[in-house]
Amino acid sequence: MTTPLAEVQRAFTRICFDAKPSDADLAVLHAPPDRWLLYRRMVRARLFAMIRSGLPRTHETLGKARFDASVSAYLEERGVRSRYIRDVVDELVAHALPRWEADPELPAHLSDLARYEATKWAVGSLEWSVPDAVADELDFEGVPVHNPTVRSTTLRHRVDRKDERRDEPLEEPHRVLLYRRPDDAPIYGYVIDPMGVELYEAWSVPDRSFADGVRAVLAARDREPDPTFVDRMAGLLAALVERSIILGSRR
Amino acid sequence: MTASVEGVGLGLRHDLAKELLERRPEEVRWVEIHPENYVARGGRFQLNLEQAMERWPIVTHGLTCGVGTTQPFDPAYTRQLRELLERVGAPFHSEHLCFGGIDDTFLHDLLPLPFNRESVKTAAARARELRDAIERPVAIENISYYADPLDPGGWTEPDFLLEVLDAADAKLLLDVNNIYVNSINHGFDPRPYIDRIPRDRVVQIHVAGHFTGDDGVIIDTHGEDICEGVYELLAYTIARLGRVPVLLERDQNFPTLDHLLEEVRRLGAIYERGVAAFEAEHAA
Repeated sequence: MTTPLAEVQRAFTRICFDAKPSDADLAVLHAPPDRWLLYRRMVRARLFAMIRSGLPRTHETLGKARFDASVSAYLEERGVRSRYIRDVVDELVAHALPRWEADPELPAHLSDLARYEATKWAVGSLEWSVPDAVADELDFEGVPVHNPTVRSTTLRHRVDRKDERRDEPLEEPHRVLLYRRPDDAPIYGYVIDPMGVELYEAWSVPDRSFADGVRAVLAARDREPDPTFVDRMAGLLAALVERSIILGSRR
Repeated sequence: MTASVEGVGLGLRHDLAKELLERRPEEVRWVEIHPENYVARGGRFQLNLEQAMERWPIVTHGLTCGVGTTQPFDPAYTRQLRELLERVGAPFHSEHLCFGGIDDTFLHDLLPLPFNRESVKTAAARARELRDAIERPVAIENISYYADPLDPGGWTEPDFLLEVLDAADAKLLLDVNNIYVNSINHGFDPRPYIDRIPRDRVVQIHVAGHFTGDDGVIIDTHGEDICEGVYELLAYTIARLGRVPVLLERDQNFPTLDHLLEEVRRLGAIYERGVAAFEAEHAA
Protein backbone atom coordinates (compact mmCIF):
# COMPACT_ATOMS: atom_id res chain seq x y z
CA MET A 1 0.00 0.00 0.00
CA THR A 2 1.26 3.48 -0.82
CA THR A 3 2.25 5.68 2.13
CA PRO A 4 -0.14 8.66 2.44
CA LEU A 5 1.30 11.95 1.22
CA ALA A 6 1.08 13.60 4.64
CA GLU A 7 3.08 10.78 6.22
CA VAL A 8 5.74 11.11 3.52
CA GLN A 9 5.99 14.82 4.24
CA ARG A 10 6.20 14.29 8.02
CA ALA A 11 9.00 11.76 7.55
CA PHE A 12 10.77 14.20 5.24
CA THR A 13 10.43 17.00 7.79
CA ARG A 14 11.87 14.86 10.60
CA ILE A 15 14.78 13.82 8.36
CA CYS A 16 15.60 17.50 7.91
CA PHE A 17 15.06 18.70 11.49
CA ASP A 18 15.84 15.78 13.82
CA ALA A 19 19.28 15.71 15.39
CA LYS A 20 19.84 12.38 13.68
CA PRO A 21 17.57 11.10 10.91
CA SER A 22 15.98 7.79 11.86
CA ASP A 23 16.21 4.66 9.77
CA ALA A 24 12.43 4.36 10.05
CA ASP A 25 11.89 7.75 8.37
CA LEU A 26 14.46 7.03 5.70
CA ALA A 27 12.72 3.72 5.04
CA VAL A 28 9.45 5.55 4.26
CA LEU A 29 11.10 7.18 1.26
CA HIS A 30 11.92 5.43 -1.95
CA ALA A 31 15.33 6.57 -3.17
CA PRO A 32 18.76 5.90 -1.62
CA PRO A 33 19.22 7.61 1.77
CA ASP A 34 22.11 9.75 0.54
CA ARG A 35 19.71 11.75 -1.64
CA TRP A 36 17.47 12.54 1.35
CA LEU A 37 20.48 13.48 3.41
CA LEU A 38 21.39 15.87 0.60
CA TYR A 39 18.05 17.60 1.16
CA ARG A 40 18.74 17.66 4.89
CA ARG A 41 22.05 19.43 4.27
CA MET A 42 20.47 21.98 1.93
CA VAL A 43 17.56 22.78 4.26
CA ARG A 44 19.78 23.15 7.30
CA ALA A 45 22.47 25.13 5.47
CA ARG A 46 19.95 27.76 4.42
CA LEU A 47 18.46 28.12 7.89
CA PHE A 48 21.82 28.14 9.67
CA ALA A 49 23.10 30.81 7.27
CA MET A 50 20.05 33.02 7.83
CA ILE A 51 20.36 32.76 11.60
CA ARG A 52 24.08 33.49 11.51
CA SER A 53 23.50 36.55 9.37
CA GLY A 54 21.09 37.95 11.98
CA LEU A 55 23.28 37.12 14.99
CA PRO A 56 26.88 37.57 13.83
CA ARG A 57 28.33 38.64 17.19
CA THR A 58 26.32 36.07 19.14
CA HIS A 59 27.70 33.43 16.78
CA GLU A 60 31.22 34.73 17.27
CA THR A 61 30.85 34.88 21.06
CA LEU A 62 29.37 31.41 21.40
CA GLY A 63 31.68 29.80 18.89
CA LYS A 64 30.56 27.69 15.95
CA ALA A 65 30.06 24.40 17.81
CA ARG A 66 27.85 25.80 20.57
CA PHE A 67 25.95 28.06 18.20
CA ASP A 68 25.24 25.21 15.80
CA ALA A 69 24.16 22.99 18.70
CA SER A 70 21.65 25.66 19.75
CA VAL A 71 20.28 25.91 16.21
CA SER A 72 20.03 22.13 15.96
CA ALA A 73 18.13 21.96 19.25
CA TYR A 74 15.74 24.67 18.03
CA LEU A 75 15.05 22.81 14.80
CA GLU A 76 14.52 19.48 16.54
CA GLU A 77 12.46 20.67 19.48
CA ARG A 78 10.45 23.46 17.91
CA GLY A 79 10.95 23.57 14.13
CA VAL A 80 10.51 26.69 12.02
CA ARG A 81 7.05 28.16 12.60
CA SER A 82 7.12 31.19 10.34
CA ARG A 83 6.74 31.35 6.58
CA TYR A 84 9.05 34.36 6.66
CA ILE A 85 12.56 33.00 6.77
CA ARG A 86 13.76 36.22 8.38
CA ASP A 87 11.79 35.21 11.51
CA VAL A 88 14.09 32.26 12.24
CA VAL A 89 16.45 34.68 14.00
CA ASP A 90 13.80 35.65 16.55
CA GLU A 91 12.52 32.08 16.86
CA LEU A 92 16.02 30.78 17.60
CA VAL A 93 16.68 33.43 20.24
CA ALA A 94 13.31 32.79 21.92
CA HIS A 95 14.13 29.10 22.07
CA ALA A 96 17.78 29.31 23.09
CA LEU A 97 17.80 32.28 25.47
CA PRO A 98 16.61 30.43 28.62
CA ARG A 99 19.33 27.81 28.11
CA TRP A 100 22.03 30.38 27.46
CA GLU A 101 21.01 32.35 30.54
CA ALA A 102 21.09 29.19 32.67
CA ASP A 103 24.54 28.13 31.50
CA PRO A 104 27.20 29.49 33.89
CA GLU A 105 29.98 28.70 31.43
CA LEU A 106 28.75 31.27 28.92
CA PRO A 107 29.77 34.95 29.02
CA ALA A 108 27.49 37.09 31.20
CA HIS A 109 26.72 39.47 28.33
CA LEU A 110 25.68 36.76 25.85
CA SER A 111 21.94 36.98 26.46
CA ASP A 112 22.05 40.78 26.18
CA LEU A 113 23.96 40.47 22.94
CA ALA A 114 21.49 37.96 21.46
CA ARG A 115 18.47 40.07 22.43
CA TYR A 116 20.12 43.21 21.10
CA GLU A 117 20.98 41.61 17.75
CA ALA A 118 17.56 39.96 17.42
CA THR A 119 15.79 43.24 18.18
CA LYS A 120 17.94 45.10 15.68
CA TRP A 121 17.24 42.43 13.07
CA ALA A 122 13.49 42.71 13.68
CA VAL A 123 13.50 46.52 13.54
CA GLY A 124 15.08 46.32 10.09
CA SER A 125 11.94 44.65 8.75
CA LEU A 126 9.13 46.31 10.71
CA GLU A 127 6.39 47.85 8.64
CA TRP A 128 6.05 51.60 8.57
CA SER A 129 2.32 51.57 9.25
CA VAL A 130 0.75 54.95 8.56
CA PRO A 131 0.65 56.80 11.88
CA ASP A 132 -2.17 59.05 12.99
CA ALA A 133 -2.28 62.50 11.45
CA VAL A 134 0.50 64.55 12.97
CA ALA A 135 -0.08 68.21 13.80
CA ASP A 136 2.26 70.75 12.18
CA GLU A 137 3.56 71.85 15.56
CA LEU A 138 4.03 69.63 18.57
CA ASP A 139 1.29 70.30 21.09
CA PHE A 140 2.14 69.39 24.69
CA GLU A 141 -1.56 68.88 25.40
CA GLY A 142 -1.77 66.54 22.42
CA VAL A 143 -1.23 62.76 22.27
CA PRO A 144 2.24 61.58 21.17
CA VAL A 145 2.49 59.97 17.73
CA HIS A 146 5.20 57.33 17.82
CA ASN A 147 7.48 56.00 15.14
CA PRO A 148 6.07 52.48 14.52
CA THR A 149 9.53 50.94 14.10
CA VAL A 150 10.76 51.75 17.60
CA ARG A 151 11.55 48.77 19.83
CA SER A 152 12.75 49.24 23.37
CA THR A 153 15.07 46.78 25.07
CA THR A 154 16.66 46.74 28.52
CA LEU A 155 20.24 45.52 28.65
CA ARG A 156 22.64 44.88 31.52
CA HIS A 157 25.76 45.24 29.39
CA ARG A 158 26.77 47.84 26.83
CA VAL A 159 26.60 45.43 23.90
CA ASP A 160 25.17 48.29 21.84
CA ARG A 161 28.47 50.19 21.89
CA LYS A 162 30.51 49.79 18.74
CA ASP A 163 33.81 51.04 20.01
CA GLU A 164 35.37 49.71 23.17
CA ARG A 165 35.44 46.38 25.00
CA ARG A 166 33.45 44.61 22.31
CA ASP A 167 34.51 41.20 23.64
CA GLU A 168 33.88 42.10 27.26
CA PRO A 169 31.31 44.89 27.32
CA LEU A 170 30.89 47.06 30.37
CA GLU A 171 28.20 46.06 32.85
CA GLU A 172 25.94 49.10 32.89
CA PRO A 173 22.18 48.51 32.96
CA HIS A 174 20.42 50.76 30.47
CA ARG A 175 17.50 51.08 28.09
CA VAL A 176 18.08 51.44 24.36
CA LEU A 177 15.52 52.41 21.75
CA LEU A 178 16.20 50.86 18.35
CA TYR A 179 14.43 52.42 15.37
CA ARG A 180 14.44 53.44 11.73
CA ARG A 181 13.75 56.93 10.48
CA PRO A 182 10.87 57.58 8.02
CA ASP A 183 11.62 56.47 4.45
CA ASP A 184 15.02 55.18 5.41
CA ALA A 185 16.53 51.76 6.11
CA PRO A 186 19.46 52.15 8.55
CA ILE A 187 18.82 51.21 12.18
CA TYR A 188 19.71 53.63 14.93
CA GLY A 189 19.97 53.26 18.69
CA TYR A 190 19.27 55.86 21.37
CA VAL A 191 20.01 55.22 25.04
CA ILE A 192 17.71 56.80 27.62
CA ASP A 193 18.37 57.21 31.35
CA PRO A 194 16.00 56.00 34.12
CA MET A 195 14.00 59.21 34.15
CA GLY A 196 13.83 59.06 30.37
CA VAL A 197 12.48 55.51 30.64
CA GLU A 198 9.70 56.67 32.96
CA LEU A 199 8.75 59.52 30.66
CA TYR A 200 9.00 57.46 27.48
CA GLU A 201 6.76 54.77 28.98
CA ALA A 202 4.31 57.42 30.21
CA TRP A 203 4.17 58.89 26.71
CA SER A 204 3.58 55.43 25.27
CA VAL A 205 0.27 54.93 27.09
CA PRO A 206 -2.44 54.99 24.38
CA ASP A 207 -4.45 58.21 24.04
CA ARG A 208 -2.66 59.99 26.88
CA SER A 209 -1.25 63.46 26.24
CA PHE A 210 2.36 64.50 26.80
CA ALA A 211 1.20 66.70 29.69
CA ASP A 212 -0.77 63.92 31.38
CA GLY A 213 2.17 61.58 30.96
CA VAL A 214 4.43 64.07 32.73
CA ARG A 215 1.87 64.51 35.48
CA ALA A 216 1.76 60.74 35.96
CA VAL A 217 5.53 60.56 36.27
CA LEU A 218 5.61 63.42 38.76
CA ALA A 219 2.84 61.82 40.80
CA ALA A 220 4.70 58.51 40.88
CA ARG A 221 7.82 60.36 42.06
CA ASP A 222 5.79 62.45 44.47
CA ARG A 223 7.48 65.66 43.38
CA GLU A 224 6.79 69.03 41.79
CA PRO A 225 8.11 70.01 38.34
CA ASP A 226 11.28 71.83 39.44
CA PRO A 227 13.52 73.52 36.84
CA THR A 228 15.95 70.57 36.70
CA PHE A 229 13.13 68.16 35.92
CA VAL A 230 11.65 70.50 33.31
CA ASP A 231 15.03 70.97 31.61
CA ARG A 232 15.68 67.24 31.46
CA MET A 233 12.17 66.47 30.26
CA ALA A 234 12.35 69.14 27.56
CA GLY A 235 15.78 67.89 26.48
CA LEU A 236 14.52 64.32 26.23
CA LEU A 237 11.44 65.32 24.22
CA ALA A 238 13.54 67.41 21.84
CA ALA A 239 15.93 64.49 21.36
CA LEU A 240 13.11 62.01 20.71
CA VAL A 241 11.51 64.34 18.15
CA GLU A 242 14.81 65.21 16.50
CA ARG A 243 15.53 61.52 16.05
CA SER A 244 11.98 60.79 14.77
CA ILE A 245 11.38 58.40 17.67
CA ILE A 246 8.36 60.54 18.42
CA LEU A 247 6.92 61.97 15.20
CA GLY A 248 4.81 64.71 16.80
CA SER A 249 1.41 65.02 18.38
CA ARG A 250 -2.23 64.61 17.49
CA ARG A 251 -5.44 65.81 19.10
CA MET B 1 -3.33 47.91 -13.30
CA THR B 2 -1.95 44.66 -14.65
CA ALA B 3 1.54 44.88 -16.06
CA SER B 4 2.60 43.78 -19.52
CA VAL B 5 5.60 41.49 -19.24
CA GLU B 6 7.80 40.77 -22.26
CA GLY B 7 11.39 39.87 -23.06
CA VAL B 8 14.00 39.09 -20.42
CA GLY B 9 13.67 39.96 -16.74
CA LEU B 10 15.86 39.67 -13.68
CA GLY B 11 15.10 38.64 -10.13
CA LEU B 12 15.09 41.61 -7.74
CA ARG B 13 17.35 40.27 -5.01
CA HIS B 14 18.66 42.16 -2.01
CA ASP B 15 22.32 41.79 -3.00
CA LEU B 16 21.68 43.18 -6.47
CA ALA B 17 19.05 45.76 -5.69
CA LYS B 18 21.11 48.83 -4.91
CA GLU B 19 23.09 48.93 -8.15
CA LEU B 20 20.22 47.61 -10.27
CA LEU B 21 17.90 50.35 -9.00
CA GLU B 22 20.51 53.06 -9.49
CA ARG B 23 21.42 52.03 -13.03
CA ARG B 24 18.00 50.80 -14.20
CA PRO B 25 19.51 48.99 -17.20
CA GLU B 26 17.26 48.97 -20.24
CA GLU B 27 18.07 45.37 -21.20
CA VAL B 28 16.19 44.28 -18.07
CA ARG B 29 12.58 44.51 -19.18
CA TRP B 30 10.85 43.46 -15.95
CA VAL B 31 11.70 42.15 -12.50
CA GLU B 32 10.49 39.29 -10.37
CA ILE B 33 10.07 39.38 -6.60
CA HIS B 34 9.43 36.81 -3.89
CA PRO B 35 6.34 38.11 -2.03
CA GLU B 36 7.51 36.62 1.28
CA ASN B 37 10.28 39.22 1.28
CA TYR B 38 7.77 42.09 1.06
CA VAL B 39 4.57 41.02 2.83
CA ALA B 40 4.31 42.43 6.38
CA ARG B 41 7.70 44.06 5.99
CA GLY B 42 9.06 47.58 5.87
CA GLY B 43 12.57 48.96 5.61
CA ARG B 44 15.02 48.40 2.79
CA PHE B 45 12.88 45.81 0.98
CA GLN B 46 9.85 48.11 0.71
CA LEU B 47 11.99 51.01 -0.46
CA ASN B 48 13.53 48.78 -3.14
CA LEU B 49 10.11 47.58 -4.28
CA GLU B 50 8.76 51.11 -4.56
CA GLN B 51 11.72 52.13 -6.71
CA ALA B 52 11.44 49.00 -8.86
CA MET B 53 7.73 49.68 -9.45
CA GLU B 54 8.60 53.10 -10.86
CA ARG B 55 10.77 51.50 -13.53
CA TRP B 56 9.57 47.98 -14.32
CA PRO B 57 6.58 45.66 -14.49
CA ILE B 58 6.67 43.34 -11.49
CA VAL B 59 6.04 39.60 -11.53
CA THR B 60 5.61 37.63 -8.29
CA HIS B 61 7.01 34.21 -7.51
CA GLY B 62 6.19 32.61 -4.17
CA LEU B 63 8.39 30.43 -2.02
CA THR B 64 6.11 29.11 0.71
CA CYS B 65 2.83 28.12 -0.92
CA GLY B 66 4.04 25.01 -2.69
CA VAL B 67 0.91 23.45 -4.13
CA GLY B 68 1.85 20.01 -2.84
CA THR B 69 1.20 20.94 0.76
CA THR B 70 -1.49 18.80 2.31
CA GLN B 71 -2.94 21.58 4.47
CA PRO B 72 -5.00 24.55 3.25
CA PHE B 73 -3.10 27.82 3.03
CA ASP B 74 -3.28 30.36 5.84
CA PRO B 75 -6.08 32.75 4.81
CA ALA B 76 -4.40 35.66 6.61
CA TYR B 77 -1.33 35.20 4.43
CA THR B 78 -3.21 34.75 1.17
CA ARG B 79 -5.15 37.94 1.92
CA GLN B 80 -1.89 39.84 2.40
CA LEU B 81 -0.52 38.21 -0.74
CA ARG B 82 -3.55 39.30 -2.73
CA GLU B 83 -3.09 42.87 -1.52
CA LEU B 84 0.56 42.86 -2.56
CA LEU B 85 -0.26 41.43 -6.01
CA GLU B 86 -2.90 44.11 -6.45
CA ARG B 87 -0.44 46.81 -5.41
CA VAL B 88 2.29 45.72 -7.84
CA GLY B 89 -0.15 44.87 -10.65
CA ALA B 90 1.06 41.30 -11.00
CA PRO B 91 -0.50 39.70 -14.09
CA PHE B 92 -0.39 36.26 -12.43
CA HIS B 93 1.32 34.63 -9.47
CA SER B 94 3.52 31.55 -9.50
CA GLU B 95 4.29 28.88 -6.91
CA HIS B 96 6.19 25.60 -7.05
CA LEU B 97 5.04 22.04 -7.64
CA CYS B 98 6.45 20.91 -4.32
CA PHE B 99 5.77 20.95 -0.61
CA GLY B 100 7.59 23.20 1.83
CA GLY B 101 6.31 22.07 5.20
CA ILE B 102 3.56 20.39 7.13
CA ASP B 103 1.77 20.77 10.48
CA ASP B 104 2.57 24.51 10.58
CA THR B 105 6.30 23.85 10.22
CA PHE B 106 8.22 25.39 7.34
CA LEU B 107 11.31 23.83 5.76
CA HIS B 108 12.09 26.86 3.59
CA ASP B 109 13.06 24.68 0.68
CA LEU B 110 11.33 23.07 -2.29
CA LEU B 111 10.73 19.42 -1.48
CA PRO B 112 9.62 16.92 -4.11
CA LEU B 113 6.27 15.19 -4.35
CA PRO B 114 5.62 11.57 -5.27
CA PHE B 115 4.52 11.32 -8.88
CA ASN B 116 1.17 9.79 -8.05
CA ARG B 117 -2.55 10.42 -8.04
CA GLU B 118 -2.74 11.69 -4.46
CA SER B 119 -0.14 14.39 -5.24
CA VAL B 120 -2.08 15.43 -8.34
CA LYS B 121 -5.27 15.73 -6.36
CA THR B 122 -3.56 17.69 -3.61
CA ALA B 123 -1.76 20.05 -5.98
CA ALA B 124 -4.90 20.73 -7.99
CA ALA B 125 -6.88 21.52 -4.84
CA ARG B 126 -4.21 23.90 -3.49
CA ALA B 127 -3.73 25.65 -6.83
CA ARG B 128 -7.46 26.27 -7.17
CA GLU B 129 -7.66 27.41 -3.56
CA LEU B 130 -4.84 29.87 -4.14
CA ARG B 131 -6.28 31.17 -7.40
CA ASP B 132 -9.59 31.86 -5.67
CA ALA B 133 -7.86 33.57 -2.74
CA ILE B 134 -5.63 35.88 -4.78
CA GLU B 135 -8.19 36.46 -7.54
CA ARG B 136 -5.78 36.05 -10.43
CA PRO B 137 -4.23 33.21 -12.44
CA VAL B 138 -1.83 30.85 -10.72
CA ALA B 139 1.16 29.42 -12.53
CA ILE B 140 2.86 26.28 -11.23
CA GLU B 141 6.61 25.84 -11.62
CA ASN B 142 8.27 22.47 -12.27
CA ILE B 143 11.06 21.98 -9.72
CA SER B 144 14.44 20.31 -9.80
CA TYR B 145 14.45 17.18 -7.65
CA TYR B 146 17.11 14.80 -6.50
CA ALA B 147 15.01 11.79 -5.58
CA ASP B 148 11.53 10.30 -5.92
CA PRO B 149 9.85 10.14 -2.51
CA LEU B 150 7.92 7.02 -3.47
CA ASP B 151 8.11 4.46 -6.22
CA PRO B 152 6.88 6.47 -9.23
CA GLY B 153 4.87 3.52 -10.49
CA GLY B 154 5.39 4.30 -14.12
CA TRP B 155 4.76 8.05 -14.19
CA THR B 156 7.50 10.24 -15.56
CA GLU B 157 8.01 13.86 -14.46
CA PRO B 158 6.20 15.33 -17.51
CA ASP B 159 3.36 12.84 -17.03
CA PHE B 160 2.95 14.13 -13.50
CA LEU B 161 3.29 17.81 -14.42
CA LEU B 162 0.70 17.59 -17.20
CA GLU B 163 -1.73 15.73 -14.95
CA VAL B 164 -1.43 18.50 -12.34
CA LEU B 165 -1.87 21.32 -14.88
CA ASP B 166 -4.97 19.69 -16.31
CA ALA B 167 -6.49 18.89 -12.92
CA ALA B 168 -5.78 22.39 -11.60
CA ASP B 169 -6.48 24.17 -14.88
CA ALA B 170 -3.38 26.18 -14.02
CA LYS B 171 -0.76 28.07 -15.98
CA LEU B 172 2.86 26.89 -16.14
CA LEU B 173 6.04 28.65 -15.15
CA LEU B 174 8.41 26.48 -17.17
CA ASP B 175 11.82 26.27 -15.52
CA VAL B 176 14.12 25.22 -18.35
CA ASN B 177 17.11 24.94 -16.03
CA ASN B 178 15.19 22.55 -13.78
CA ILE B 179 14.35 20.31 -16.73
CA TYR B 180 18.01 20.36 -17.75
CA VAL B 181 19.16 19.57 -14.18
CA ASN B 182 16.65 16.74 -13.86
CA SER B 183 17.58 15.36 -17.28
CA ILE B 184 21.20 14.99 -16.17
CA ASN B 185 20.46 13.74 -12.65
CA HIS B 186 17.80 11.26 -13.75
CA GLY B 187 19.08 10.43 -17.22
CA PHE B 188 16.46 11.48 -19.74
CA ASP B 189 16.37 13.55 -22.93
CA PRO B 190 14.93 17.01 -22.11
CA ARG B 191 13.65 17.82 -25.61
CA PRO B 192 10.77 15.33 -25.72
CA TYR B 193 9.77 16.75 -22.31
CA ILE B 194 9.66 20.27 -23.80
CA ASP B 195 7.76 18.92 -26.81
CA ARG B 196 4.96 17.75 -24.52
CA ILE B 197 4.41 21.15 -22.89
CA PRO B 198 1.08 22.70 -23.96
CA ARG B 199 1.97 26.13 -25.30
CA ASP B 200 -1.20 27.83 -24.14
CA ARG B 201 -0.41 27.09 -20.51
CA VAL B 202 3.07 28.66 -20.38
CA VAL B 203 3.19 32.21 -19.01
CA GLN B 204 6.84 32.51 -18.00
CA ILE B 205 10.19 30.75 -18.28
CA HIS B 206 13.00 30.53 -15.72
CA VAL B 207 16.66 29.96 -16.44
CA ALA B 208 19.53 29.85 -13.96
CA GLY B 209 22.97 28.43 -13.26
CA HIS B 210 23.64 25.34 -11.21
CA PHE B 211 26.45 23.56 -9.39
CA THR B 212 27.87 20.14 -10.23
CA GLY B 213 29.12 18.17 -7.21
CA ASP B 214 32.05 15.77 -7.11
CA ASP B 215 29.60 12.88 -7.33
CA GLY B 216 28.20 14.28 -10.60
CA VAL B 217 24.88 15.28 -9.06
CA ILE B 218 23.81 18.73 -10.26
CA ILE B 219 22.41 21.01 -7.58
CA ASP B 220 20.08 23.81 -8.64
CA THR B 221 21.81 26.58 -6.72
CA HIS B 222 21.02 29.66 -8.85
CA GLY B 223 24.55 30.61 -7.90
CA GLU B 224 26.54 30.02 -11.11
CA ASP B 225 26.52 31.26 -14.69
CA ILE B 226 24.04 29.67 -17.07
CA CYS B 227 25.69 26.74 -18.83
CA GLU B 228 25.71 26.13 -22.59
CA GLY B 229 23.29 23.22 -22.28
CA VAL B 230 20.67 25.46 -20.68
CA TYR B 231 21.15 28.19 -23.31
CA GLU B 232 20.64 25.57 -26.02
CA LEU B 233 17.58 24.14 -24.34
CA LEU B 234 16.14 27.63 -23.93
CA ALA B 235 16.62 28.33 -27.64
CA TYR B 236 14.82 25.10 -28.44
CA THR B 237 12.02 25.99 -26.02
CA ILE B 238 11.44 29.54 -27.29
CA ALA B 239 11.42 28.35 -30.90
CA ARG B 240 8.65 25.96 -29.90
CA LEU B 241 6.66 28.18 -27.53
CA GLY B 242 7.17 31.65 -28.98
CA ARG B 243 6.91 34.90 -27.06
CA VAL B 244 7.08 33.82 -23.42
CA PRO B 245 8.95 36.12 -20.98
CA VAL B 246 12.22 34.71 -19.65
CA LEU B 247 13.63 35.34 -16.18
CA LEU B 248 17.27 35.02 -15.17
CA GLU B 249 17.32 33.75 -11.58
CA ARG B 250 20.42 34.53 -9.60
CA ASP B 251 20.03 34.02 -5.87
CA GLN B 252 23.54 33.64 -4.45
CA ASN B 253 27.25 33.89 -5.25
CA PHE B 254 26.49 37.15 -7.00
CA PRO B 255 28.84 38.37 -9.75
CA THR B 256 28.99 42.01 -10.83
CA LEU B 257 25.84 43.49 -12.30
CA ASP B 258 27.69 43.96 -15.59
CA HIS B 259 28.38 40.25 -15.68
CA LEU B 260 24.70 39.47 -15.11
CA LEU B 261 23.69 41.99 -17.77
CA GLU B 262 25.90 40.13 -20.26
CA GLU B 263 23.86 37.03 -19.50
CA VAL B 264 20.65 39.03 -19.86
CA ARG B 265 21.77 40.31 -23.29
CA ARG B 266 22.66 36.82 -24.43
CA LEU B 267 19.26 35.58 -23.25
CA GLY B 268 17.66 38.51 -25.07
CA ALA B 269 19.35 37.54 -28.33
CA ILE B 270 18.25 33.90 -27.92
CA TYR B 271 14.75 35.10 -27.11
CA GLU B 272 14.52 37.28 -30.23
CA ARG B 273 15.87 34.56 -32.51
CA GLY B 274 13.53 31.99 -30.98
CA VAL B 275 10.50 34.24 -31.32
CA ALA B 276 11.39 35.00 -34.94
CA ALA B 277 11.74 31.30 -35.69
CA PHE B 278 8.46 30.56 -33.99
CA GLU B 279 6.59 33.33 -35.79
CA ALA B 280 8.07 32.41 -39.18
CA GLU B 281 6.97 28.81 -38.71
CA HIS B 282 3.49 29.76 -37.58
CA ALA B 283 3.01 32.39 -40.28
CA ALA B 284 3.76 29.80 -42.94
